Amino acid sequence: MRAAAPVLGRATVALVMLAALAVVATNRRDEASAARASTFHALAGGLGSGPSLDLSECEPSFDPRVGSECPRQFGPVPGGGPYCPRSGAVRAVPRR
Amino acid sequence: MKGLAAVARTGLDAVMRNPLRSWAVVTCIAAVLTPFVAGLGISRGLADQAETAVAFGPDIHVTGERLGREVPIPIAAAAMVSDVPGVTGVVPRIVAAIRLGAGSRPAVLVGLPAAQFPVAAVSCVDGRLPAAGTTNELAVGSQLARQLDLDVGATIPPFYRNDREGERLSLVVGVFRSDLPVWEASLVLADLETAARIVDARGLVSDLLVSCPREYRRAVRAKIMQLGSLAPDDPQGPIRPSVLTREEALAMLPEGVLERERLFNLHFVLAFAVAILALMVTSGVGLSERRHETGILKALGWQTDEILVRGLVESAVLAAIGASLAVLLAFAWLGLMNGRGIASAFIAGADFAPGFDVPFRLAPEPILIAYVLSFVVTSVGSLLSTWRAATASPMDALA
Repeated sequence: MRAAAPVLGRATVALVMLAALAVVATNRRDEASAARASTFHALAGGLGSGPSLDLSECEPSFDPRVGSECPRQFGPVPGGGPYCPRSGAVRAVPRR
Repeated sequence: MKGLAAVARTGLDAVMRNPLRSWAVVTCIAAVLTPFVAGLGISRGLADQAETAVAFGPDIHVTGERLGREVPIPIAAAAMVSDVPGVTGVVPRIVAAIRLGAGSRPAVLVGLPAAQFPVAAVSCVDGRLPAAGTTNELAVGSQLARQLDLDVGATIPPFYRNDREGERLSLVVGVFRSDLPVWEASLVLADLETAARIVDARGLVSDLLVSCPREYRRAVRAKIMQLGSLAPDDPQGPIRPSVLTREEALAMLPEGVLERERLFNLHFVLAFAVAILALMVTSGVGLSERRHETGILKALGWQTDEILVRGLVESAVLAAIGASLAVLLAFAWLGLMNGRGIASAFIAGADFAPGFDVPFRLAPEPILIAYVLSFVVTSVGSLLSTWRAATASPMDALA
């Protein structure tokens, strides 16, 4: 048991370092990806910015610039309004 | 200090002494934290992409409003807006909701003048970009192409109704690459005329994308607002301009994208509450071994604070292992498995196995919170029982 404890300590440190490396890797700026994104938005005129892939149920959750009215928003109700399943919010995007 | 270090080292021994309990705790922590870390990773990735969408979008975005709601605007309004001093360019755009295929898959039709497609944009698609003409040429999003089994050269039977010109077959000339921002997934890009034909709305567009130098933005915004109506000759009344600058759009972003993250956090507060109870059972409460062990240590002359330090180190090691495993599993889930299963919880319209590259970023703040939560959950479970045993007399603890 005595011999295993230092090994466990070193293994724990190694695991934490690996996790830190994963965090650093995902936070590194990817120039190629940024260039592709800018080209796409130059093509489509800056499309999207919400957590939805289409306009089918809630326009602002796709892009609040395209439409700001959520059909699930029925006005101020005491205690909260109905949740919009697309944006996941009572009022995801303020009215412009 | 040396004594404290020696006591702390026994915390590592305590982890090894009860391997089953340690594995149970680590597994519980990893199981609870992995979806939490992965979910927040997607949320941050999506927020980054949204920022890019606004940063590379138009300087000023103009839509029309009537009865307090957005309405299409006449394409002639583009000329009115381009006459505003300071405006260097106006691009009319159609953005419309359509449905395609046997399963009526929702898609976003975007129509822009094909002549103004940037030359470099061909790198965004496999195939080529749509051209203007009598044929309905379309470039479709990666997820849509996969759902409908479309490839370059495929034809789509008429999916729309146009009473004036009739319906036509559409030709897929390009498929968007899956490593673009997520909004390409259900996109159908076409020339402005083609899009107008598909939605049967000739002479109308959804919005105007206005370019102007940064220093003129506020002045241009004010001038467009002063236009009064984007359809001055419309007998049904004025269509009021609704204007949004890039800065205003950026200010709106956190409200939209991160709202899901807040709800997700709320759900995880409940999950952590359950986890604390589960860990109390697995790591301390109900385990007579811990009480017995503490009794022996007390009988050997250990002080209560030394026993608590030992318990704290044990909890910290278990928490560090569990949280690190959670981070690595979340990284693999999002990076190697492309967020299979969890992406659809954050990106509405995404398939269980997304047909596009799921954006993610493991931001340091949520990861730090995950480690702290992990430590709190573990230590609450074990320290309570350790403290109760440590404050009892050795005879009672050994009984």
